[in-house]
Amino acid sequence: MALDATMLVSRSLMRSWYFRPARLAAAIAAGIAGVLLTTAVLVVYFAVYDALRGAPITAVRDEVVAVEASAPAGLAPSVVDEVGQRTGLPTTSMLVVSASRLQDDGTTTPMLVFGVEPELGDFVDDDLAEQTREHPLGPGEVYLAAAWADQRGVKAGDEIRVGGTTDVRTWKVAAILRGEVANRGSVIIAPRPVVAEAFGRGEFTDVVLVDQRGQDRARVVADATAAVDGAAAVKDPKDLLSGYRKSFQTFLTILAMFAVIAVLTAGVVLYLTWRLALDDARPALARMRLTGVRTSHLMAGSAAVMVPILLVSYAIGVVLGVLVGSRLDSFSRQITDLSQQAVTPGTPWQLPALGALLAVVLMFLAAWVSGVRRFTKVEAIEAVSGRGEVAVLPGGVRKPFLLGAGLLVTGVLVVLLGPPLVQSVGLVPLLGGAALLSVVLPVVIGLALRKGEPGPVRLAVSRQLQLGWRRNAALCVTFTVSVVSAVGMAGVAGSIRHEVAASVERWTPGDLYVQAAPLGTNLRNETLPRELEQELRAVDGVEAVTTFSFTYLELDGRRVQVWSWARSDLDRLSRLTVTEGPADVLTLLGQDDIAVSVNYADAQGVEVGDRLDLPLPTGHRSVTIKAVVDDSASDGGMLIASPELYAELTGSTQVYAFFVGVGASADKAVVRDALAAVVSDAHPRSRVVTQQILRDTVANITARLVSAFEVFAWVMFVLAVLIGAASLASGLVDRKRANALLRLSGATAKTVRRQLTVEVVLIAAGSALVSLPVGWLAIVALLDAQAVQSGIRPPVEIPVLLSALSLPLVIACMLLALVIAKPGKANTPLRDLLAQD
Amino acid sequence: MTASPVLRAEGVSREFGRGETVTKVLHDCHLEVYAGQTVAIVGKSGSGKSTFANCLSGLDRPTGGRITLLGQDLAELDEPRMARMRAEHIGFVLQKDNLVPTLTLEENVAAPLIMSGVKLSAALERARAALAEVGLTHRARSWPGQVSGGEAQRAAVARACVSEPAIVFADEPTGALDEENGLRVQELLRAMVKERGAATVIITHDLDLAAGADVVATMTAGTLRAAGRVF
Ligand SMILES: Nc1ncnc2c1ncn2[C@@H]1O[C@H](COP(=O)(O)OP(=O)(O)OP(=O)(O)O)[C@@H](O)[C@H]1O
Ligand SMILES: [Mg+2]
Repeated sequence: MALDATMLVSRSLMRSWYFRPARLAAAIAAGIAGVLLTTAVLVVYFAVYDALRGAPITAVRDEVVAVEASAPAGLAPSVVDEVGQRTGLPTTSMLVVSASRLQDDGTTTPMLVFGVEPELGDFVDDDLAEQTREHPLGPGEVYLAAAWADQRGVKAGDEIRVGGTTDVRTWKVAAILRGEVANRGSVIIAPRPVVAEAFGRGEFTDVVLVDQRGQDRARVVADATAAVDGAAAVKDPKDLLSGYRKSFQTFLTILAMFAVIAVLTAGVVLYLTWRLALDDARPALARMRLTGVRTSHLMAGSAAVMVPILLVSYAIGVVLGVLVGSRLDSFSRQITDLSQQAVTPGTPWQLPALGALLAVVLMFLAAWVSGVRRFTKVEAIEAVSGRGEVAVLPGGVRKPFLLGAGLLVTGVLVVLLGPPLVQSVGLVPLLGGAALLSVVLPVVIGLALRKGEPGPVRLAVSRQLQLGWRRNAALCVTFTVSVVSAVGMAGVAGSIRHEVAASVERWTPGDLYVQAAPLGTNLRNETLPRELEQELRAVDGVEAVTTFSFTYLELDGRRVQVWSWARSDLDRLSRLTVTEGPADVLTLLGQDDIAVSVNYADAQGVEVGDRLDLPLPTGHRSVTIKAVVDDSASDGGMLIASPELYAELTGSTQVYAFFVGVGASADKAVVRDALAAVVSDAHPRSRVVTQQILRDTVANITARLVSAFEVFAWVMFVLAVLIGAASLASGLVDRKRANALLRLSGATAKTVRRQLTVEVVLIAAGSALVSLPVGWLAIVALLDAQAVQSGIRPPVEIPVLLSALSLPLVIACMLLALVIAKPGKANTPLRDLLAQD
Repeated sequence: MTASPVLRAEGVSREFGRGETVTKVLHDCHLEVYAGQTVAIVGKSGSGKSTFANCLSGLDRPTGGRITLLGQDLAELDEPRMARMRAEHIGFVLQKDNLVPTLTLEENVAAPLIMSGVKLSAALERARAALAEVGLTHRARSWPGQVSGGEAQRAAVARACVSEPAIVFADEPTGALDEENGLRVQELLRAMVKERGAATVIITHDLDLAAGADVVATMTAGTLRAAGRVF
């Protein structure tokens, strides 16, 4: 019996939607779009997160203690010996180098090259050890991992080409090792001497593995730590190469913020459309009450209909979302490019799918519980009086207005006056206030329009805005949330992009740049000899040359960039401004001091005079911060070292690039060709690029990245607006009779159309009025949130185009919805429009 | 009376559907309604009364025949002129849910006046007078969702008559009401129409209502037969 009653409710609900296909379509579309957006954003987030997580070495046994060098040079042989002596345990050394695999078509793929010793077999799991024993490496031979090679059709016996420090190396694949080994299979394993020679690493080592051999682990760790004297970090093997995890936080933070906002927007839209879909079923349910249906039947029956709809929307949305997300893998690749690490991002779909399910279920439950709660108040009497359908009453304005305004003012005060870190919290009252006000505003506009002697259109609009607030609220909130989040995200992206571009401009006043490898493919393994400088100076038209190098070191477990310029010609080739400390700090730096970028100082809370403990190949050195330099081009900030300190840190005098100034009278193109002629013979991968190309590429890695955010913001915005339009169109179905009644009193079809148009324009304008300023403030709050990680505090850049287009775009979509819904079709007989379903 | 009729229907027919499934609901119906006259159309459920009335009032278009309202062939009126005709010369009372839910009772009643260009304040004044006639002065500012079915129906009567129309169409105006309320609405409709000299076409099951009419026309399976006093 109970089951039958539930079935009856389900059936009647289905039928009520059958007669309102637009509403059902809107609910399903919102479901799919919301799930799609959420999944896609989460796929990108997790792909990037996964990629930045580093390149775990999966094959090393658990009872091994790992010692990982912190300085880019690696560990000096004396330190490695010391580790062996202090622990009294067997050790093996490894080189780990990021390098580019070169393909015939000119493309490159980042890979990790491991230089290993024969003893490594004792430190890895038995299966891997067995495989290496079966296929010992001959001269010029390497191993690849099956996880990588099988996908690309590379087999044992094939050749693989890799960009070495000064030239390209070709190795033969001896065997494909089963499994991932490390770095999700994107590895080349070669004998240590081969790798040391190819990348100019001499006797230095990146990782030392210590076989615990049943000894007390804490003792081994303590001995190793004492032995390295700050030159390395002692860790679990699974934490090897994990420094990335703590760098590139800016983008992860922005991406996370974006994911949250996307999920929020999708959630709000989902909630509103489902809620309306449930409300529409109210008359049908009232009639069900006549047959003695109980509240529990209503709840079970509505769930029985909505859950399958939800599941179908979810299934479609999640598949599309994963597709879209993986299509955006160029986006995740850009982020990993930026990190210049040898990781190929995958498409992790499980967590995003789960996340989207969670979001959807939560939103559905919220809509269902609040919608059904209203059902429980549905009385049988409504079926007779029909009052449930027509009981529209004007919304009270005072309380929600005061509450919304209060929230908004609180948000504004917090964002504008709050201290850093607190500003971002202001986003919450800001969004809440905006949503509330956007619902109240049309009601207020409606009240105002009623004043005086309104004509038929104004009267009808005024009353509809006052009375239809419940339905209009869905539109208002959708518009407001989407405009705020889109404008906020686009603003953050634009602000950061401008800041980074401005930074890059400051250190690139030079005219030409001699690069060791094509821009964007150099994983810092390819460099040029410092001696080239003399030859470059000799080229006709060259008036200034300096060298630039950069690397990473591990400081407090996080990867920090280290930049270094030679002292020559800096007045011509750098315009870096010093915000604290001596203006000509770049020429003053010695072996015991450094300069830091302003975003590093901000993020780490350090200032001039503070000391930093830098890791060296042989131990550590405490250096003094001599100046803070205005630069935000690096993620999380960077250190500037003198050439001497840099050479100590890297164990190499090779340089990453030459910055060249060309005389005013010389032809840059001619000089460029001449420079290329000087370097290209000995260094076929080298390139000479113009200032424009360099700026575009360097700023572009960031710019493209944040542009992707902007694109996302647009997509999200358009999606939300389309859903708003669909829900508007479906809402018109319910107003069919009301509009027909107006025409019964003599309104023309045109009057009705004009009324609906004015309504939509006013609602959109009201939302824009609230949401645009709030969106601009949201930029401030969001920038504050990301500054915690990045230290970048750029001036706020308002996304002019999106701001300017948001209102016309919203209105255009709504008008399109009106055209599609054809509410004032003149030639439909009024009889049909008056008919009630 | 030799004046020309307010409403003249000649050979009106109406078919629904197309091709195989076509159903012919009205066959060659004739009717003339003169100023001040009340015509009641009675007949069995499903006989075609509403369909006929909808054609007469311009809410629907007949598939054959001709309808002339105030000397105008309805088929020749375009939408804006038809709308104007409704605002100025035709009143409607439907069975229920007559009122626009987002307008107050007085605004609903004033709507035909506003549509024909009367200033809102003047229109509301006349609307309140009309509401007073139906005993709803105290409900003038209420929303349709707040009033009873009988009150809403009385407001609809006020709306139908407020613009001094030439003709009022009422399709079972008391059908959704109890006897007492039905009687009251019926009285009011009769009185207000009479006072304004309008013609009325009323569709009803209510024999009392039909008895008071000048002409009673019976619809039988789509065919109309008029009886009673004809001027
Ligand atoms: N749009 C339509 N499509 C098809 N058939 C219709 C349509 N409208 C009415 N009919 C049919 O025309 C016939 C007459 O309907 P109508 O509503 O005019 O009857 P009625 O005399 O007013 O009945 P009642 O007293 O029950 O209101 C019915 O059989 C009905 O099914
Ligand atoms: Mg009927």
